[in-house]
Amino acid sequence: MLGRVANNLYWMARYLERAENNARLIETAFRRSLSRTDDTNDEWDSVLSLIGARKDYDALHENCDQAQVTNFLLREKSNPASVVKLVQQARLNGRIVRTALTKEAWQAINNLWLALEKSLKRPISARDLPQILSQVRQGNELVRGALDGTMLRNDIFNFIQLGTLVERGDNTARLIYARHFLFSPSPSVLHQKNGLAHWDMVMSAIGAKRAYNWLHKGRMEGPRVLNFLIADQRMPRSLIYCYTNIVRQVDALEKAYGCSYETGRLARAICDDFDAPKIDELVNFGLENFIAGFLAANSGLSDQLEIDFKFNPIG
Amino acid sequence: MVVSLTDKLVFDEMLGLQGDNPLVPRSPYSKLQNWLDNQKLPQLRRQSDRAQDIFRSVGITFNVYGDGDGVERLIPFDMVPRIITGKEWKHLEEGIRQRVHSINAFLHDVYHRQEIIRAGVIPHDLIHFNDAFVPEMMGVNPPGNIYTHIVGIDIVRTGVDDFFVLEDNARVPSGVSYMLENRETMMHMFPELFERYRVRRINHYPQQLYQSLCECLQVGDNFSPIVSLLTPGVHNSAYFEHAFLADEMGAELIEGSDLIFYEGRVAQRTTQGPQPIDIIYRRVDDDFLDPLNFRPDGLLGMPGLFDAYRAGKVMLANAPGAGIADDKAVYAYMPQIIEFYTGQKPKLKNIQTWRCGAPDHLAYVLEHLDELVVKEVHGSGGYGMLIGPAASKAELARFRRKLKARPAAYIAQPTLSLSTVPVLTQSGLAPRHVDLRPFVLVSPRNIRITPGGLTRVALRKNSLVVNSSQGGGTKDTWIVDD
Repeated sequence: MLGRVANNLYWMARYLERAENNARLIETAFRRSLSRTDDTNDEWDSVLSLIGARKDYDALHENCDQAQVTNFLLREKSNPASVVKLVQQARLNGRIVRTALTKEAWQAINNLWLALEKSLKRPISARDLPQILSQVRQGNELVRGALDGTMLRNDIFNFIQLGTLVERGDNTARLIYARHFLFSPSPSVLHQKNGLAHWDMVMSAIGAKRAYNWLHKGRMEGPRVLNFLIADQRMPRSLIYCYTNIVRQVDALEKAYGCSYETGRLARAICDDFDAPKIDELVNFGLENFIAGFLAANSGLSDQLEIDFKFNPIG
Repeated sequence: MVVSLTDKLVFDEMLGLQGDNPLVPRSPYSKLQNWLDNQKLPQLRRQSDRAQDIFRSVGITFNVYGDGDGVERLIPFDMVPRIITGKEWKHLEEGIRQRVHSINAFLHDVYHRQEIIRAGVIPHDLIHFNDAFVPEMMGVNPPGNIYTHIVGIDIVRTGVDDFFVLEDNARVPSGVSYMLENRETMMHMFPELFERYRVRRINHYPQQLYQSLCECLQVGDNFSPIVSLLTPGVHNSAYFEHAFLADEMGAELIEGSDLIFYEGRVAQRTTQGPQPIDIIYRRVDDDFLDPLNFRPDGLLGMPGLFDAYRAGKVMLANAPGAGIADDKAVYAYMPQIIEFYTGQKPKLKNIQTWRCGAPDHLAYVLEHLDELVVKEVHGSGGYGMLIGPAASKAELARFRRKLKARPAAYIAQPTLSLSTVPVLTQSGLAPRHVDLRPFVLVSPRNIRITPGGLTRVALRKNSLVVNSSQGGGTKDTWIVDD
């Protein structure tokens, strides 16, 4: 397989996953903003920071008003993190590697783009928002289904999976990082009061509310929450789930290509970092550093992947 | 549904000339007419819209240059098939075979001893002062001695037995993916029609393409060469076709940045390191293949690619320099070229062509400009041409000036009354002008002609321009055995 093809497959998957994650985040913030009791626009503010679009937004708008932020996050062409740009980019990556995808997988991606391009043509009102956000989610689910049901389990599939998992791990970690203050040794009174609502938001932003309730009967307590998000193998968006499967994908590549890669060593090292007793301690101390360390390691893995599998022409 | 013809002098392939009995279709079309009689317009329109949706979802689109970035358009597909009988096709096939054979012989000669110039059949300047001539190819022997592995011969029809070659495409002819997708779409939408007609199949084209390219290496059947298709990239107007063909023939779809030299060979950069390539089916023009040998700013191939080709390290299809054979000025000499290399009269007629570079020709063209079609010698895609009868006074005057300034850059031809085939419009069936591009694969062992080809149709009433960049559409083309 061409290095350029691997590169495009990997980024196609990352952009799709990112579009879905951002859509879920917007949905969560939107619902929270409907049920808020004061006049602050905290949630939109934190969404912008989380996505890393603060600067781009401030260049265009002065204040954080719901309609402005949602339109910026969904359909602003100058915002590289907007859902429409992410899906457009994913579709372009897919079109570049059209020959590596099955007809079903390509059509699922192309149809998602065609549908979004149409529905995001005009500014979005609050009333249309839920429908469009679910369109993004469902479109992604179709892509995942088509990939799962029709693609050969070879290196093509491995690179797509790697893109999805690296992006997903990044997303979950960022969500934890944004709330790490809830675990500080002496959380302020305000934080304690709102703690529950914060975790509720994180759970719905990763689409795991129901899953958490099944496992913990809705008891939102620090150690349980952290273990669920970081070290629960059963949860398809936990860090350990992402990394167990990243290791699996790299193993498959090493086996198919008959050699071992630095990427594999890095992935296994990150994976070994998630054992449960250690996570319990994090509740009291060091969470911020741990997550920051993970984010750096995750992006380091992505860089190593590009080098090992010759994603780019030079090097 | 009935077609009503508007122009008495135009041959309609379904109904003949209007002077004939307009209600009786020509025999190849009678079963189709029967079927159409039982269809309702709104239903057909709905089917037709659905076909466009399929095209969009599959991504069968082309990019229009100068239309802003990322604009992808559909080539309109018309659902009324064009039907050509086995007998008519046999005649076309023989003519095409002869022509393609001559084109390859001509290219070999032009890039070796140039006997045809020595014999005084064509003028020296026609080759040596021609931009399409690539002197770097002199003395080069391409694998299997084949220059044009893939050829598209554009054919127009003006009467029952009157077929003419409008143009040869010996460089990188495109459109074959539309030919294949049109058939897929028709079989999907109207399976019952294929029960009534025995239509010759075309879906083996990609495998034949692969096989035909491999035969040029002449290395025995047990060796499977690595074939890659070189595309200018995702923003090229024919990108869909590049991806489609690579996919169907099991070749890697590569861009210039994927190429490197490795152990003296041309290789592609894979996730596991460099992999040498045997054959590059390049959909990149000569100029952009190799900045060291051709245009210095041509970065779609790789520096040194042509040197590797010349040293026999990799095969390029089609060969660089093949464009000299489809140049419009050379076209005028095609009957003589065919006779020179085959000793036979051409089986397919050329259209009378005035080369404006010749003073007597220029004088005639200037005098009859309002009757003629004027084309740029190096133009393509229907850009920069003048259709005399349809042009305004100002346009005629502008072209007169252009012709006087650079006469050798133009040729002129009579305005032909191209045949029509009905298309489905908002208000029913209506005749529209068509041409035909059959696709030919050439190897040392075989000349394979896919039965049918791409029918392009001018969707605007009375328009003679069928190019997709100018609002043309396509049709499925059937060769039927009686």
